Amino acid sequence: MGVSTVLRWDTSAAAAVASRLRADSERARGCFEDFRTHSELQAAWAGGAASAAGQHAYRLAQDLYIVGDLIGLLGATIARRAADLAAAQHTVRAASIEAAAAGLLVSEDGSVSVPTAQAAVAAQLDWDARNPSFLAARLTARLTAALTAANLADADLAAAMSTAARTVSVRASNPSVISQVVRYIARPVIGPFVAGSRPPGPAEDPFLCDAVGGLETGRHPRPSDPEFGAWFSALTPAEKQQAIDRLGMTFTAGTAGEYDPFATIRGGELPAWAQRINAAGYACTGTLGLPLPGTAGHGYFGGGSVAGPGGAQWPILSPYYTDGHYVYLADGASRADGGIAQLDGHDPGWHTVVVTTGTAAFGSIGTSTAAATLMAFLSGTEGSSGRAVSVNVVTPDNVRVTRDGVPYDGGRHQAVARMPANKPYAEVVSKMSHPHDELPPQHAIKSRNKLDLGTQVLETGNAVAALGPHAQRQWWVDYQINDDGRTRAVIRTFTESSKGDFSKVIGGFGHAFPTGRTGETQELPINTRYPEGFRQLYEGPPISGDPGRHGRLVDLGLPIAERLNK
Amino acid sequence: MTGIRADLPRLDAAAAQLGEVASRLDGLSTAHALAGLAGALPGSACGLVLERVGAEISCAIRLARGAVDATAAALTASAVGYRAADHLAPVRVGGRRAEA
Repeated sequence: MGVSTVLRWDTSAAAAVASRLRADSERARGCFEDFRTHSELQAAWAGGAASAAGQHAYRLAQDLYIVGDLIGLLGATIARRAADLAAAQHTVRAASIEAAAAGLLVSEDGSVSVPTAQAAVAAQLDWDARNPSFLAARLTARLTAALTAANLADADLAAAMSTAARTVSVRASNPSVISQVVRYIARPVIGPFVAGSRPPGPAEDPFLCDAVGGLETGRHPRPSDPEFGAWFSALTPAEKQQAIDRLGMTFTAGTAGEYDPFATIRGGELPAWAQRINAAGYACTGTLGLPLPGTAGHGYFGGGSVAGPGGAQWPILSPYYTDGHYVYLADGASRADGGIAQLDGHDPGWHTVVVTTGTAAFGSIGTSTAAATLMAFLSGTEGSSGRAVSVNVVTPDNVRVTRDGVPYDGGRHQAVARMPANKPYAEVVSKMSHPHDELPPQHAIKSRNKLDLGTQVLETGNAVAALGPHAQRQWWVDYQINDDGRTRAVIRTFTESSKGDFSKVIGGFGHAFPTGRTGETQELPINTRYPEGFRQLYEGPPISGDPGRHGRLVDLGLPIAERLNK
Repeated sequence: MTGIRADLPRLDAAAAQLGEVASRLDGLSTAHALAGLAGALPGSACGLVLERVGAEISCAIRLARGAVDATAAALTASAVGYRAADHLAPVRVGGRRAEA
């Protein structure tokens, strides 16, 4: 999907359709509710054969009520994705206009180039905003990120619609049940009146009698049940996909007031299976499952849990790779072996059930940017290469966020060297002067596809621009399930704030995990140096049940800033 | 037999209300709206799927419409039957008309 395609969309139509679907949903549910009531009434009066007819009609009405619900869900999905599509379209249009005004060429894939006639002149200029090549590079980044976001929103909407179509088709076109319903309810009932008979209770839903339908009725284990893993791992691949679909569809993220992952986070240790994986790779230490400094390998750190689909607390984990010097929580690009998310192929089989995302404000930040020192930032300093040349991150001990979103502690602001090229650190610099007319989602939403870093930047950029000079955290909770039934939740964050005179937005990616106190999290930068980023973690409490193994391993000696400057 | 007399009006009302449910179902335009959206997003991956889900929902609503009609017909027929039974029952009881 290219630039011209995105520009042709009439995104305003989506909002109108979403509104129409919401109204249709209310009307359909009302109709089906009335139908069910009268089906019960008929059965109550008639008894005997009519009672059976009523039960069948009841089942049909129950299914059709779900169809009404589904129409509402489709409306909500379209509304959410329409906002994403409109935001991406807006960025594409604005960047295209800016490029045209500067005499630059825009290709269909979003790359912006300098006309040949100007290229030689551009090569003689300094690498700054007056250089057409510099502007072309900036516009290319914006356009490609927006196109990626548009493609993701389009794919997500298509996936949601496809799931809905399958659901409606299965529920509404089962010929055996339909024929039974019609056969029974079409038969006039002239029988003895049975005084005091009661309407039948909810009948066993024949549509829910498939392999995984019991997830909705409780007949099959839910993710919160100990036997869930054994049950899930025994399913066929198609049944697993169906179960994942059902878990995702039935999990309602709701609004921020109804669902806030930071309010449901509980402290705790890593699940036993993650500890086993860590132990198999190297000697781990600390309650969070980190390897000794200088040890290379893959593993999980984290602990605790967060509420998720199926009414369960999903264990919070962050897959990582360390080469002994750097710790990486995310790849710069997608990889065939699943990348760090699947331990570079060492722990494959993870599927994303649903991604919930939302924004949270840290509170107002004054022009002094005093509060900014509490958070992780990438600096916006641009050197001759046009890339960020210095990175400011914070250690876990100076970013703590209460469930109310209030940061406290810390205050140290240290400089860290540039990340190695083979595992690129996300570099984010965006101008506040960019117009962002489209409001971001102000409440928790869910999607089916994992978002890439570009989309995260776009979403959070929109959030910051729309909400004004407040520090913002955009959070994503990826609920994932493995083929063998294990579950995990990965909490990713992107924190942005305006810098100084608000001319610039600076931000940083991170992973959040519990501090041990309910509702409270701390964060690590997404890719960071080792062991600086983990210093505080090594000074944590002894491992539960093993007093001999304590987290304190290294004495860093000099303050971090001084050591980095040596 | 007072029970039958008391319930028959409700049976009539239920049949009438189901007729109203059927007309409300006719007013749903979900499929049309989804097809319109598909046209507004040319070249998108979701366009084709939007039309498909609209068709499936349309099918489900047609099915509901048929079931509602059939249920309303059954209720009407039942009411007719009960009225006939109510009329004949006093004759059957002891071969004499019973007092209500």
